[in-house]
Amino acid sequence: MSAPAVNIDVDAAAAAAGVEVRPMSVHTGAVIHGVDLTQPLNETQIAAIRTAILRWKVVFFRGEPMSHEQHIAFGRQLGDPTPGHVVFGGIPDYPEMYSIAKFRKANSKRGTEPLRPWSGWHADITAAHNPPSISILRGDTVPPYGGDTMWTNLAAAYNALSPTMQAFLDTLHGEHRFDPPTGKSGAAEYDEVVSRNTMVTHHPLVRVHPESGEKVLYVSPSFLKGIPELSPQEGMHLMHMLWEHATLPEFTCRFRWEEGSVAVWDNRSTAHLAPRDIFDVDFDRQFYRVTLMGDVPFGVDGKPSISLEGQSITPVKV
Amino acid sequence: MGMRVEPLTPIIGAEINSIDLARMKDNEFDSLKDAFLEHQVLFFRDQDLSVEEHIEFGARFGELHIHPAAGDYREHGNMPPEILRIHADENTIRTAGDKWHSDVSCDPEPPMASILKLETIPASGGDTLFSSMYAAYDALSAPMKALLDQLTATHDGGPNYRDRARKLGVDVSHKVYPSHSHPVVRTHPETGRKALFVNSTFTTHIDDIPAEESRAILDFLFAHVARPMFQCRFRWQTNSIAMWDNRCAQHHAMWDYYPQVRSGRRVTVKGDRPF
Repeated sequence: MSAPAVNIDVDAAAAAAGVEVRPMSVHTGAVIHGVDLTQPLNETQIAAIRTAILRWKVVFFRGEPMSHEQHIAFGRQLGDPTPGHVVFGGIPDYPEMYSIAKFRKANSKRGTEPLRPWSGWHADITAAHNPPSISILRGDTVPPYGGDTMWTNLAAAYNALSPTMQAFLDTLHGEHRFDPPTGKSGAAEYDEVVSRNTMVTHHPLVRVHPESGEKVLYVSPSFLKGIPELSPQEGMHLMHMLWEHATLPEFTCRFRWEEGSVAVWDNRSTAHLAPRDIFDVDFDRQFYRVTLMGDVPFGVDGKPSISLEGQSITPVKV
Repeated sequence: MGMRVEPLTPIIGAEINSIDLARMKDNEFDSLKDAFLEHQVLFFRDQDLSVEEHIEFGARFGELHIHPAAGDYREHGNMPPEILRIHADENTIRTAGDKWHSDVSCDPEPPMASILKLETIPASGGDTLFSSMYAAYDALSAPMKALLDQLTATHDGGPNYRDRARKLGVDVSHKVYPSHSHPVVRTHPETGRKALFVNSTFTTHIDDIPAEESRAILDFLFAHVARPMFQCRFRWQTNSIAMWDNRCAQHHAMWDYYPQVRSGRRVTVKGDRPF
C-alpha cells in the first residue's frame, strides 16, 4: 500500500508534546495516550493532536469522561464550534452541543430505501457550502457491546484509484443535498424542518485538503446525489463505484466505544458510519457531539464549491 | 421504378423495397451502399437468394470472412466456408447471439457487415434487435466521451465460443479463438462518425485500469447500449434478409421461440482494423 501523499511528521509532534500516538490500521485511526482533555492543553499538545488528525484522519482518546462544558472547551481549543446541528440545533443551555440519542432519527424513519453496502456512510453536513472541519464525539451512555462506529480514509481511497480515473474525477463536481426525499414521507414535523433548511452545494468531487494538500475523494454517500457534468445514469454508476471503493475495509477502522471514549475526526478527509446494530438490543446509547467550523472546499483547479441553496454555517457566538 | 428506402426509426434501420438483390444494377448498389451507411442496418423482404447468389451479393461489398467457430458444430453441414449456418430447434441448448454483440469483435479486424437470410421462421418470436452505437456514443456526456475516447478494451472470443461448445458437447480444447484489444470508441472508416465499440458478449475488460474500475464502466456501458431509444426491432418472414454494419451497430437475436425452428444462413464481409 502507498504511503500518504504528503509527509506529516506525527512522531516529532507527539514526542514534543510527550504524548503517544498508536495507529489502529495502516491507513486510518490512531489512539492518543498521555493527555487530559478536561484540562487546558498547551500548544505542543494541540499541535500533536492536530498533526495526528491530519495523518490518521480520526483519533481516539480513552478514559476521558467530560462534562458538556469541558467538551465545548476542548473543541474551542481546536476551532470555532458550529451550532450543535445546523438544522436541528443544540440542546438547552448548550447551543454548541448536538445530542445523539439512540432514537433521535425515529421521526425521519422512511424505510423504503434499500440498504446498499455504502448506505449510511457520510461526512457531517457536506450539503453546506462550508461543511464542518472537525467533529468531536463523546460516548456518555455506552452499551456494553454493539454500537461501534467506522471511519474511512478518503485520501487513501483517492490514491488507490488509477491515474486515468483520478484525472477524470479531478474535473467533476458532486451535488450534495440536504432535503426531504421525494416520494416518501417522514413525520410532518421532521419534513417541515428539513425543507425549511434545504441546502444544496456543488463541491469538487476531488477536494484538496486545506492543511495537508492531499487530494480527497469527496463523496459523502448520504448527501451526494448526482454529478452535474454527467448524465443521471453515468453519475449513478460512477457514484456506486466510488462509494463501493471508498468503503473497502482496507481504508477503514472500527472503534469500540467505552464510557469516556472520545473520537475526533476530520470531515474533510473521511466518511463515517453510525451503527445500526444497536436497534437490535435494548441497551441505551447517548452520545454528544461538538462540531467545528470549516472552510469552503476547493478542487484540484483551485476553484471553490458553489452554493445553490441554503445559508452558510455560522459559528456560535461566545 | 427504383428502390425505396423506408426508415424504421430516425435512429437506426431501414427497409429497402422494390429491389431484387440477385439482379442488382451498379447504380442500385451505390444507392444501397449509401442507405447502409446512413441507416446502419437494412432489411429486405422476399429475397430467395441461393447459396451462390447470397455469396455473390456479399462479395460485392468486399472480401468474405470465415468465422473462427465455423466447423465447431454439426449444423454447418457441407456448406461453403463463407456460409455460416444459423439454426435453432427443439434440440438446441444455446443459440448464437442471444446477447448484445457486434459479430466476432474479438478478431483483430472484425467483420464490416453481416448478411443474414432466414428460411424457416417460427410462427412468432425470433425477432432481432439492433442498437445504434453512434446514437449510444452521442448520448453520452462530454466528460464521459473524453474519458472513453482515450481507452482501449480487450475482446476475447474464448469465453463465448467455449461456453457454446461446452453446452453442445463439442470438444474445442485444441482450438485457439481470437482475442484482441480495440478502442472503446472507434471511428467509422467510411462515415467518420464515432461509435461505441464494447459489447457484453466479447468485451472482457478495459485495458490498463483496475478490474473494479473496468467492471463499473462496462456495466454502465452495457446497460447504456441496451436502451430502447437507440434501437429498432425486426420481425422476420421467410426469405427476409437483414444486413448490418458491425462497426456502428450491435444486435441481439431473441431466443423466445423454443422449441420452434429458426433457420438460415449468414455471409460476413471482412472489415478493417478499428481506430
